[in-house]
Amino acid sequence: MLSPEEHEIYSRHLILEKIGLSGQLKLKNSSVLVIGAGGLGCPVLQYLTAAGVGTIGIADHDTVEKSNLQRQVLFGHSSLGKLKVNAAKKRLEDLNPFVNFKTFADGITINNALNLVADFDVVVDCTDNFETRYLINDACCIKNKPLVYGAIHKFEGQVSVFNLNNGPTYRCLYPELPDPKSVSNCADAGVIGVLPGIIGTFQANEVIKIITEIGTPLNGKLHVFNALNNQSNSYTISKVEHEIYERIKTNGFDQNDYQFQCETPVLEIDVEAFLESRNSFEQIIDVREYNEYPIIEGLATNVIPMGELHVRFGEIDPDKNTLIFCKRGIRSQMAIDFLKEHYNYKNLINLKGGITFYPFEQEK
Amino acid sequence: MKVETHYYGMISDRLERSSELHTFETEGSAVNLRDYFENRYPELKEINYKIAVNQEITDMLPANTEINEIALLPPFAGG
Repeated sequence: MLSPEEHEIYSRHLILEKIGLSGQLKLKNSSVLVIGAGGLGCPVLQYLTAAGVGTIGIADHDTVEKSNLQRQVLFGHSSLGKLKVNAAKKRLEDLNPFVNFKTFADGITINNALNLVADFDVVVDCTDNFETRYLINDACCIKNKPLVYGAIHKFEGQVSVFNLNNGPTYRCLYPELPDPKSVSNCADAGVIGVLPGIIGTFQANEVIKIITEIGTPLNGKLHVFNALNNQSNSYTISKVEHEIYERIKTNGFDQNDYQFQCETPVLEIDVEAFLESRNSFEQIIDVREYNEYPIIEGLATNVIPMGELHVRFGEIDPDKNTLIFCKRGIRSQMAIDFLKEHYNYKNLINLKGGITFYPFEQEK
Repeated sequence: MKVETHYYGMISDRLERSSELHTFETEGSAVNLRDYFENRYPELKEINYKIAVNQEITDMLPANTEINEIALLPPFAGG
């Protein structure tokens, strides 16, 4: 049932023959997980909230940055520095107080993926990297959840619906993570601000069509839009069986299936290489305890002992090239593994062998 | 037969064009488009992409068939 106030809010849906009261109740009784509250996630969240989807999950580990505001229209200057999931929830609760929001500030990982998608009727991929896109696809296949996909590149966008009624999946289109050489670099190639608005709105439309069972969803179709010439095309995707889904069902996720680096990663350097490239590191983090020697004045930009890392990781800027060191290079590697696994850090390099090999005369 | 070919994403970036006309002879035999494009543009060998002919995903240009459009579709990561 809808309350009198809900009738007023959704009046333009209720008078639509194809939605009406039954369609609006389907929306109210549905749950949608939106993974990524960035350029695509903002319009998806806004339109699904305004449309009256009963429960909306928001998964994102990022905070709001100034460079987001050009396209992530859910946020304003008052949101800067705040977790996106919290800033989004606050704005969306004001937009529609009849929606129940669940936030997941860890984003999606191989550890939570299956449980996360299992709790929702439809999943929306609004992420910005291939590793997560494949993880979401695989989790949706295993839990049999329809996946509404959107992705953008500069002035072009792709939209599709995967795994709906046993239809094709993302792997039917692109079976494996791209070869690292396929992508010139990890840096954001740039995007015109309105494009994620257009593509995200396409995604929200697909979600509403799936829930209300109207129209023809982009099941098995890759829809491509070019904002420069307004050309749109839909390409047919055929279903292909993939053994990886059975393997995951049997053995669980393997991190190796979701590791992709745009360039050959430099994971560790020794002291000699570090001294030659010291200026390229914008952050140097010492993860030893406060009383550990040797103390080298001016070397570390921050001291965060391992025991404090889980609460102080936010002091490490994920966008800066970062060297992490300890006494022998073992704890610092553990710190890097922890930060990568739980907080998606990428630009972390370990000091091989640790500070023990540091030539102290250099500091004199 | 001249066929309009659309390039998307980083393929368009690498080739510095979003479309062009290609001429194919398909009388009696099909054409392997992946081989054709990668011979013409070796940089494509390093890129992950799908080919669509008349909006259907396939690497082959069928023989004796009217073709309206070919597209080279790399995956997009951005969001």
